[in-house]
Amino acid sequence: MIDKDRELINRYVYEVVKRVPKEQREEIELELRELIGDMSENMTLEQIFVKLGDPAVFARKYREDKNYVIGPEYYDNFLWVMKIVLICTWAGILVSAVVKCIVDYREIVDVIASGLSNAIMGSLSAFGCVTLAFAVMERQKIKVDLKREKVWTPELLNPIPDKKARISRGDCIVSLVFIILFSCLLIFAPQLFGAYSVKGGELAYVPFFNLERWRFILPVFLLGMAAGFVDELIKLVTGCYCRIVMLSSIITNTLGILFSIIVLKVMPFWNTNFAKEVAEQFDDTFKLKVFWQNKQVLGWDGQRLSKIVLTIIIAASILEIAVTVYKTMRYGTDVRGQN
Amino acid sequence: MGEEKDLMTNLVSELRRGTLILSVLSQLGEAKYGYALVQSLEEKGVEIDPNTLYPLLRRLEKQGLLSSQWDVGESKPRKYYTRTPMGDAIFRELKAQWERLSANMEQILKEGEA
Repeated sequence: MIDKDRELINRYVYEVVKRVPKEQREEIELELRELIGDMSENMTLEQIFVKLGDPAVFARKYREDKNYVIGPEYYDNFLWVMKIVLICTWAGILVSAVVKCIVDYREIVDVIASGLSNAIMGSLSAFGCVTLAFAVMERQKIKVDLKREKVWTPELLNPIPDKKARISRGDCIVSLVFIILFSCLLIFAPQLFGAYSVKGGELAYVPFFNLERWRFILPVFLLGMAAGFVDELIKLVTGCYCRIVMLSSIITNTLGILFSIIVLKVMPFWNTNFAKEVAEQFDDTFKLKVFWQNKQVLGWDGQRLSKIVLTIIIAASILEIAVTVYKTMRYGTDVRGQN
Repeated sequence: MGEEKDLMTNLVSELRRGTLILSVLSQLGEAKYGYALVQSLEEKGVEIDPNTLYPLLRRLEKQGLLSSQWDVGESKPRKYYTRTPMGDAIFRELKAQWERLSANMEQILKEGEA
């Protein structure tokens, strides 16, 4: 055997051996040299290397490595945990961004930018941490069955939800988007809710709400919105009327009523000067004046308005609870299989 | 066309993968070294790449089905593998399983032809 061949064999052996665990290196090296020696009796060195293939592949077969990060055994749990962690991360970032907006409402662009970058970084780190944790469990063979404590049996089959019990995902998403948009408007531009007129070529408005005290009113408003957001998320995840959705709907709507009472009855919610400001602003707008006068705007009465709005909110909330309870009882099936 | 060929190669190698351990165990009633095993299997029409066989032998040894011994008496050292008593028992059981499987498959494929 010439020196050049010996050198090539050394190189090949080295390329394999450096990729296997230390304690096996010596023996694997001996095996490889034995194999190459045996093969060289009726093959050229080049043929041998072609036959043995890429040293990295050879080494991987020795390592009995897993060629995947998360294997099929863990995949279901991995996806499930990932969804929950991501939803929690986004919810946390959303809440903290909303709070920041309230505190630093003067630097809203910065707050939004940092919120977005937080969302991206947060998603990436959440994804990384979950994947890492599962990759470690996969390799250490730590058994976790988060989703199912018991062995699956046919009794665990859930009845297919009745068509009328299914909750449309589209509806949920529309509601979620609406809640976010409405919250943004309440945070960034509450003055848009008001009466408008064009005065001297400029748009003038008179807000309905008491913007001077808005910093105290807004958080209560947003808490109600957040409850609605969670409720819609639960609907989106379960996809049908069941006990969880029913409970969540009862809690959310009750909270909604409570918050409405606090905002409308306890807090100085309405712009008490609305009537006066409208009268000043719209003095020269004949049509509007007539309209507002007809509506007895000069007798603007926050108390009465609160009563009307509150009645509508309470009626709508009770109706929603009633519909949810009815649908759950009538068609709904519990996710765990009992009715 | 290339895709079909790849698919075929995959399917064939998957089919053969299950028979590998049984083929290897069948040959190691008496001690053999790795390359002799490759050659004896090849003679019988069972092709196995050395880069599959050598790691497989180590794994079977770790699982207790094979035992190994280095023979340093000859010009170059060689590692000889042979079945352990546990390997014998498992080989017999696997062989019985295979015979049943192969009989069933033959039956199924005959029906498929008709």
